[in-house]
Amino acid sequence: MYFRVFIYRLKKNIHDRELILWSLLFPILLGTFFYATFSSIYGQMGVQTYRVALVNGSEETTQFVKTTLEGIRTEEGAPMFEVVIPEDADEQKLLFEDEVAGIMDIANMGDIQLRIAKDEVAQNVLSQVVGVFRRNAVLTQRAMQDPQAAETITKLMTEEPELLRQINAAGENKDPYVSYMYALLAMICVMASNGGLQVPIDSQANITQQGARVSLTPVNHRMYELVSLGAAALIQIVCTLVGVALIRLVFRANMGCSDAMLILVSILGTLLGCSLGFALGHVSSIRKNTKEAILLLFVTVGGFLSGLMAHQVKLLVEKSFPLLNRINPSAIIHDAFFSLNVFGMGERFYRSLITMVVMTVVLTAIGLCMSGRRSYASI
Amino acid sequence: MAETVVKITNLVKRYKELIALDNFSLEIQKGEVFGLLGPNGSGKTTTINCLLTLLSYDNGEIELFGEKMTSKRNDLKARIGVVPQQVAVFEELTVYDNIDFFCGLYIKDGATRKKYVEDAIEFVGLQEFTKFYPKKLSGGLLRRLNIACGIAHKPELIIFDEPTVAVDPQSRNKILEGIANLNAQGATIIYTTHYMEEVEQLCSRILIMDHGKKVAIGTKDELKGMIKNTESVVVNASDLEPAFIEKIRALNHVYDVSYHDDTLTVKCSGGKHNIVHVVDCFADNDVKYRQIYSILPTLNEVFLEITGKQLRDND
Repeated sequence: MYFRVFIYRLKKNIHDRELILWSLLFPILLGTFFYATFSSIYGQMGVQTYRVALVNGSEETTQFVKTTLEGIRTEEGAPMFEVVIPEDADEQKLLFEDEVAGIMDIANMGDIQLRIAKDEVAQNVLSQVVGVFRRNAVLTQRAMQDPQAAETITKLMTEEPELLRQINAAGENKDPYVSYMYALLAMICVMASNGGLQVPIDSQANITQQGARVSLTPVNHRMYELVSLGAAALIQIVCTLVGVALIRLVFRANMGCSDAMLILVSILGTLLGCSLGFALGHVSSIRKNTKEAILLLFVTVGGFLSGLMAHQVKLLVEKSFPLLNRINPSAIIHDAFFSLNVFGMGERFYRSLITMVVMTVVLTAIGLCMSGRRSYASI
Repeated sequence: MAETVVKITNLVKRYKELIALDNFSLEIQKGEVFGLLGPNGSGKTTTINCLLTLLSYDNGEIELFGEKMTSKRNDLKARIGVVPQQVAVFEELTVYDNIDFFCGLYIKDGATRKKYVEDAIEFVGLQEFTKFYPKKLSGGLLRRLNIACGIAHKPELIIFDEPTVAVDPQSRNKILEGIANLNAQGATIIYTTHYMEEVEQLCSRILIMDHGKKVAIGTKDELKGMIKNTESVVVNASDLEPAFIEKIRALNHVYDVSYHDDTLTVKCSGGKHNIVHVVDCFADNDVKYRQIYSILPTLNEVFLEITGKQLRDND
């Protein structure tokens, strides 16, 4: 019985023009727009070098940090950092006028303070570098206090920093055009929530007549919804993969990672999107159109807060309300793509994958728990 | 003794301050075509939705087939078919797929389901439209599809909630014939409508409800017997003298006489051959008339007299 439900729900979704429009046409149009707008601009740009200002350091420390930073190079051999040593009065001006990506206060090497501009990539790269400096400062102090451990500590200090390992292993990709394509993929995943939303709409008696009819049948309602969600997710995954194929095969964007990883993140992101719509669709007994409007608002605001439209917003949220970035599905999907884009398959990437899976399970479970209620006070 | 299929006892349903069902009770026997009549907002659809456990209620009990009905009683739900007031089909599935989909939620066996679906298609006369999508169907055909989706699994109890609203006469006749056939095949029918003539044509027993309460219940003859007017004699005649009208008024069983626009209306309560007595009175007094005929009361008049309002608001 449930296999037939699955097949018919697939049929139903395939013929749902509005749903396919949002899931397939939207990414194609937006992708084409990105392609036409950004590919030619960014295709001519070289590898980015970050300008970093060093302040409050002694002459010796400043020289040490400057030499170290200028020695860090990309795979192509280009310098990753350009160091400037400003006058005190210029510090804030430099940062606010976007003349430097960040300011490192090196008064205490064990506790380097970092002030960051709005570029999220620069924030991550500089944070990692500062982390290495801090770690080495602490290790040096320990070695001085405990000469017997000096050998081990020296070994630790000469290990390649994780940041550089990740960049080299997966091929860091800071091309803004590719970033836009990742943002587009993240958006497609989040838009899959429309497919998930359709499931409760079609099966709740207080929302649609079709839902009322389904509610009157002797099927297990939760099972019915789960199977319907599976069918919706399959359609959305196909739409997402069409988006991926478009980006890779038509726009020929070099995403800086293996296609398998790209597809994996896209599928998990799509499942998270579907489960988001599924859970939201079960909240309250409001009308179909209102639910669709709320979901659109949720997806748009969530997407905005996660930096899908402007990178800086996510940083601001991270600074003032970091929990939001941990629970916002758009932010989680974006983070997975961002991790893959910037750091490759590192710890942060795997953490993002696990978060997506957990969120998908939790949101689906929430939806299923709420779907059990089948008598309404008013319909 | 006939099996009781539906038993509603002291049902109370409130929407905040509004009492939609006020200690409403009802029993329907197996094989009946039971008409539920009432104006808009009288509580018909609320009763149906409570019966189907789509709506929670504040007090009372509902039994179907002798067992307490709850939202978890899938065994009882499997024996019910519902044709809702609004068309409840998926626009994205064809006529055949819609019927097959909903039938498949009841019938697991593939061969049985296929036969049932084909039976339902034939029953509503949609053989030529099986590959059509609902948006390509006319209002009447859409209603027939709605019915097919509700009855394909051959339920024992079928609830029709105003199935002929906005339907062309041809489709309406087809639908009414179909309902009579379903009943002939053994299904118990609950039929809610605004259309009095449909109730007169179809229903073996009728309940009139208003303000969430039972106003009257019985066969159509029993209901007609509940009102004062049992026959109206209408005479087309000119220049009748007041004295002659008073003689008509004095006839046995006559309780009201009115004369407007050359039309004399004589209302009678009880008695036989009232028209003969009126004709005799005209002859005895040598008063000429052009036409004389008798009208028996309709359910509409029953409804009007019992509830004090017209059944339909707009037509």
